[in-house]
Amino acid sequence: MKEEIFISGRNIPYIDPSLNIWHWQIPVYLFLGGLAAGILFFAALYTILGKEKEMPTTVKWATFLVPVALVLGLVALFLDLNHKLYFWQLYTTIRIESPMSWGAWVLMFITPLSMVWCATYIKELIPKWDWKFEILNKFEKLAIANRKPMAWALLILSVILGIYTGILLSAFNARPLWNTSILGPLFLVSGLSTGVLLQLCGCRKAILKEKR
Amino acid sequence: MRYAMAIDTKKCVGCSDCVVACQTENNVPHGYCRDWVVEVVDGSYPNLELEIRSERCNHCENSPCVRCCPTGASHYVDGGFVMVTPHKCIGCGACIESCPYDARYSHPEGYVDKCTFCNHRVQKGESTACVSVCPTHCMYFGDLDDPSSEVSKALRNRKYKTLAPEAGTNPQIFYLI
Repeated sequence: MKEEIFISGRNIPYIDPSLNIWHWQIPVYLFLGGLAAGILFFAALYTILGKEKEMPTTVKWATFLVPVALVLGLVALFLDLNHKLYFWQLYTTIRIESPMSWGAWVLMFITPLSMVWCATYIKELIPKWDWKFEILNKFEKLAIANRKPMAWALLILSVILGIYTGILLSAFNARPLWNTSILGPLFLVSGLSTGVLLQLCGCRKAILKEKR
Repeated sequence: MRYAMAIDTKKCVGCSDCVVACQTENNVPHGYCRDWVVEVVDGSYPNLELEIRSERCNHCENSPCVRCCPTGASHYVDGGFVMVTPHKCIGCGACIESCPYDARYSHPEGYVDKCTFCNHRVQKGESTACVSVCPTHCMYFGDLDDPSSEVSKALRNRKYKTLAPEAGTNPQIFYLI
């Protein structure tokens, strides 16, 4: 290997430390985003397969964590931006070449959609829940009637959410170990497995009962 | 039009005039720089070889930074310049992570900054600040499509290399060896 010595420029104090540009916020988001994608994927999948009754934890209860995870993840992403007040520039354009652009748009749709999904089940979780406004009751009925189409949208969006982070990192020519086509599927699979694990934790009692 | 730079590693003495000229011309904030000098020692003692080169953004034809940018703040300008629009940049850092040359940095105001090939000077018909101050005249700047430009002549007559060719970026800075 060639040894390279920087004699000037790189002695300038802010350059090298500032090249270390991503901090704890990014791994936090990568974990929370993958978790959300995993939970939503299986919730949507088993809704489409018509197993809401048999698998309430997967389809209903676990999804209540998704909006929390996504909002915390988005806060982390926002904290990592250096030019924060310009974040809205993400939504002035769609760049097919840039995985971060897909991610921004997918998050724009999947976050509110996951909240609506939870809203359709909140009366089953908290029976005394009251929406206060008539319009919200109407909206809830509409959403409950459209669970299947919502599940299809969530299924597709969650796959993109799970895979885009890996493709984003693999698009960096500067990092040879990231610059591989396996990274996207790897991130997706690890997101899905994390989601499943959480759902399994949620139905521990049921599993133990079955074993007996 | 395809602007490029040829830098003679045999003539460069590593004085860093290019670095200071760039900082002055482009009002680079204190403590930062858009170009820098690298000294590479190769071989095993006593057969050592020393290469000195002035490095900066390579204005790649296939720039990973432009591809990664989610807002289009990093973009190409006619002539092959890779430029950043500060008011479109959100400071996400994807371009800094993706650059094989570490040519970008985060400006203290938040946006990403880097060498512009002195686009503002080139449009007036002048050469870049770094090239115009070089005391050994080791740098050539010009249009690759024009066979009579200084850079085309230099590349015709000398052997040259580019940095990190394995990254597939097709850089527009050539080092004469």
